[in-house]
Amino acid sequence: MNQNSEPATGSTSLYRSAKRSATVCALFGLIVFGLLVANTVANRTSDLVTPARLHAMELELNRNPKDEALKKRIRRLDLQVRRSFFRGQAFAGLGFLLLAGAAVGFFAFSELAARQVRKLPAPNPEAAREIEASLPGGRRAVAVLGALLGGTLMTMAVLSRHDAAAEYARLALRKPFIRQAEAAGPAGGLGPLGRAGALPLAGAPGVAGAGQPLGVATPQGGTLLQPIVAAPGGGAVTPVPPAAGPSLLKNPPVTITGVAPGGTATWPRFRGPNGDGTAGPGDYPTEWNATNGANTLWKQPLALPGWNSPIVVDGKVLLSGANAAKRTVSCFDAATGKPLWQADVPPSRPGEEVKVMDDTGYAPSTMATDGTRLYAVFVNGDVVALDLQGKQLWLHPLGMPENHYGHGASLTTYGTGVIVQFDQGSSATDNKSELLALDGTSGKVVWRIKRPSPGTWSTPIVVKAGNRDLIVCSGNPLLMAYDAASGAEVWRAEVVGGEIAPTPTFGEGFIFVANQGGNLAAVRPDGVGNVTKTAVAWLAADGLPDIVSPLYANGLIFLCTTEGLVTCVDAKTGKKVWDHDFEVMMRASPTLVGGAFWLFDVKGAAYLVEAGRSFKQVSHAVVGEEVNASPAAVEGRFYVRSKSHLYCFGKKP
Amino acid sequence: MPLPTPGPWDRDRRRTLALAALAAVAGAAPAAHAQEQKKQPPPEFSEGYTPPMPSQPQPRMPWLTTLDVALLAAALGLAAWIGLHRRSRREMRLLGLFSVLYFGFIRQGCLCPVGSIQNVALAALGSGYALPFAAGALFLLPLLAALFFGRVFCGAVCPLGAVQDLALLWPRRVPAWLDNALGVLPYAVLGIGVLYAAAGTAFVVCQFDPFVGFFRFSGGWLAISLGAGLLMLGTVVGRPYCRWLCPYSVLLRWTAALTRWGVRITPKDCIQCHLCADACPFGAISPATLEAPAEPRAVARRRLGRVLAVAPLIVVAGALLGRLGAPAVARYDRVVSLAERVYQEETGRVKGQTNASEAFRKQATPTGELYRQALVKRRWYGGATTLFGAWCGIVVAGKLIFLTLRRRRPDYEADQAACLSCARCYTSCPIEQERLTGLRSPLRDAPEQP
Repeated sequence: MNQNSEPATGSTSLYRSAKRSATVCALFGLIVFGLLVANTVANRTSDLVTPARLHAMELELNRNPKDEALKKRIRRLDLQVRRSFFRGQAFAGLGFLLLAGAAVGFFAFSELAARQVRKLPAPNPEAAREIEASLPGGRRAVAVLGALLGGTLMTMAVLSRHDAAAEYARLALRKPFIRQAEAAGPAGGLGPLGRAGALPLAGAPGVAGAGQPLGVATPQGGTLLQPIVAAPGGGAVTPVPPAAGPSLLKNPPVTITGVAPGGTATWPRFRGPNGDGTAGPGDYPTEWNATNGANTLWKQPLALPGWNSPIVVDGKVLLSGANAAKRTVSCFDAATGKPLWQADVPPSRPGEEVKVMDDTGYAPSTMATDGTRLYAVFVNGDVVALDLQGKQLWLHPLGMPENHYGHGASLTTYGTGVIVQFDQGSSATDNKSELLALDGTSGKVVWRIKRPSPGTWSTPIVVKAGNRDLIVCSGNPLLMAYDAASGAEVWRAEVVGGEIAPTPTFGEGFIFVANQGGNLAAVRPDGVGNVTKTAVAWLAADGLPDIVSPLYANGLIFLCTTEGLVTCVDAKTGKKVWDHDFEVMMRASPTLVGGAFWLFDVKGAAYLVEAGRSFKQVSHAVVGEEVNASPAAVEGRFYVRSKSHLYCFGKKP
Repeated sequence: MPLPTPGPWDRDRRRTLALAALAAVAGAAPAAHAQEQKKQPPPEFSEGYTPPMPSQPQPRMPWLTTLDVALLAAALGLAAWIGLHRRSRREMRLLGLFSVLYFGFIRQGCLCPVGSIQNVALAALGSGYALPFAAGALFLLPLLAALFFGRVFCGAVCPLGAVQDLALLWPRRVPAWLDNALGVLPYAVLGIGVLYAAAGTAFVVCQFDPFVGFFRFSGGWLAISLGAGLLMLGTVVGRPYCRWLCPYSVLLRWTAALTRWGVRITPKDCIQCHLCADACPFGAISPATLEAPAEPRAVARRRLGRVLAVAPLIVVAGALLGRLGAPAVARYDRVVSLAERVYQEETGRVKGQTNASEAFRKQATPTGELYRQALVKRRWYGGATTLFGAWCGIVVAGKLIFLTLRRRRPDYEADQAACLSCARCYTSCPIEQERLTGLRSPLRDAPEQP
């Protein structure tokens, strides 16, 4: 106010007393503040409040769960941590109250002191002139402030323009979805401008189907995968109805077929063209015996071990093998068994120690082919592509997976890409698992999506459900479907559990997944989002396998445990129809031939069982060697990998 | 007894600095307290102890809410009675103290018409949100009071204003040019508050409420520091938050400008002493204009023409800049920011997870779905932020026009739009003193001021 005004009357002694009291309050407040800051810093830096030691001890306990002394130490430290925390809390609470009191005292005494010296107002004869003179400055200041506001917006615009994170929008730039999302209003997020909706993420529209045009950018700047086999309807993007409504189960059934590369690839991946273990057409033998040569067309020794299954393309049978020192891909003539070539695959990180379990080996993953290239993955995360003559085209190292058995998931293909389910880690929240699509020609990542799953050993299947091409992956605890072109997640169902090795299959309009520690579940594939409550037709718990993949045939599902218990379940209801205990170890997945399926035990015996509503063993065959791999069944011939040989069984002319 | 030498600046400065330190302390402590509360993970008892089940706090009883509204209405009525009839600065301060205690510390700043703007915006522009009775009443009552009696809500009922009023120890006047420029800010705050509320993103006015942290003894560092800084500034500058940041002040200005029964500085006839203008720390009393303007009328007219011509350009530029800044503005939305974070994690551009992304991964929502919702939100923000930019342009252009227009004021006038009804000016009015003491003011006989 006006500095020339006369002082008000007041008490000097009161003024001084008030001023000193205010100073005391301020000093007291500063001391309390200092103590509070010290308390905060001490709590933040103390190992007791940021219990790294505690976490380290907990990790140690995970490794030694029976260490009672460690448990006691953990409990003692945990108690210390909590005591320290609550002491700090109490101190901070008390400190704040003292501080508030000091502030109140300071303001009160300062006000009292100020009253003693407050000047009376006095008229300013120049006020009007000063106001008039301030107008140009006021206009300039307003203009400057406006420029600052604009500059702020401009700076934000420039910064966000270069923000690569906004690229996620490209994934969602499919107009049908946007229109549906906007139409969804409150349930689907935001409505049109001016009618912003609620925040929940549920109840939103679906994603595109197959046939996304080439040129749509992916996060890595590549393109979406293009299916080689055109979908019915020309592969147009098909909007999916929103997941509104209580259940999808009342809807008409959706058709599911496998998406196979076709061409010369007659058995292009684990469990065949459709990934469901169904043999191709042909006149297959119902019995053979490798020990006496019955229906044994040829037999070739394998240079390196491996539990992966053979694939067949262009009249060639291929498989990989590896030991700690060497990795190869071997090619045999399908007709004669003649070794055609063998390609060594040097590791991307020579000298790196690879730890695997004996049951896993160094080459457990089955190769895949798109008809023009061969793909293999090894336990150290190296994905390699070769041409059909064995020339290495590229090698993409994904890095050593954190997988306690060793990486075992097999490859599959979609269009021009190879799909890798690269699950790892010990927990779904480790954020280490991924599903990747690598470009078949270059090995570059086309898309990669994080998966909420710990390490698994299951192989993804590629199916066409309705008009959508989906990659279906089993994980713990989710069965998940991804848009095959972009990798965008389409749906998930919480139906699985345990250590996941069996591969899902399909039939009757459902995806079937089974795993010990989880369920046998039938899930409709046409949902969007979390379909656990809307698309799961039934759950069953009989005969759940831990390694062997389920087989669908004739409205029935056949499960096989490692101990040899075979269970038949009705695909419509999930109810057990029959079971039969072979009382032998089985690791190979069943293969359907006509109306019956083959099972292999680890000792080399094979059993042909009728795929019917009652158990009936049709015949029996003998390999005579340990068998863990699933056979390839092409044009009347079985290609069976044993521990050290590759066999071809077929009807002899 | 001789009086102490009044107010040398160095003493004031020392005290001001001490106060600043104390205010900063008061800000830092609850923030530190709040920070600590977040750090400790939940207990991991494995045996011999059953952790308590989480429980939701019960909603406030409806009758208590009605009581709150009634108390607000009563406080407004009381403020109007004190300000316009009793004309008592002391009673106004006491009412302000009550407001700080009840609406501030007891109700923890939740009974807040300032924040109710956002409830109204969400109900009017968003969807799926029904405006609660209390929020609607909180929004309307102060505006109705302002329409009839001026800004009595600001005078002593608003705890945010009252706490600043209590802190105003050594008032200094802010230069008019700066006051004019900063007066644009509340409009921008109002715009951004409505924008985020309508989108359902956040109630940012509440999140950055500078004083609610004090009332709750807890708060984030940013808001608490802002509050401490404003209180520190408020010891010498009258109510900085009310004048230059409060979004509700915009609406109160509009309605109070229409009042016919607002604050009258003098209870009877004005004797032209001009003492009151110097008594207002908020610059709400305008002096009489000069009889002979400093510049020719033609010059002023040409300037007005230029400002009017450029005004549409300012609005268009604001809209354009708003459109360009939309992605950054949208990033404050949790869906948008989560989508970006998840995308970065998915593409390996960042390591690890945030709490939000970890929680997202635990829930059953596909990432594609998240991306789509985020994209829809970004599109919504594209339009809304354009409007926000245009709004800022209108405010700036309007202010420029306001500062360019010539107006005639024959005498000192209380600006009803800016007057905070604090009753300070009464104490400076010799006629008011006559009324209170029954003694004739010597100023009645003083020669007229030049």
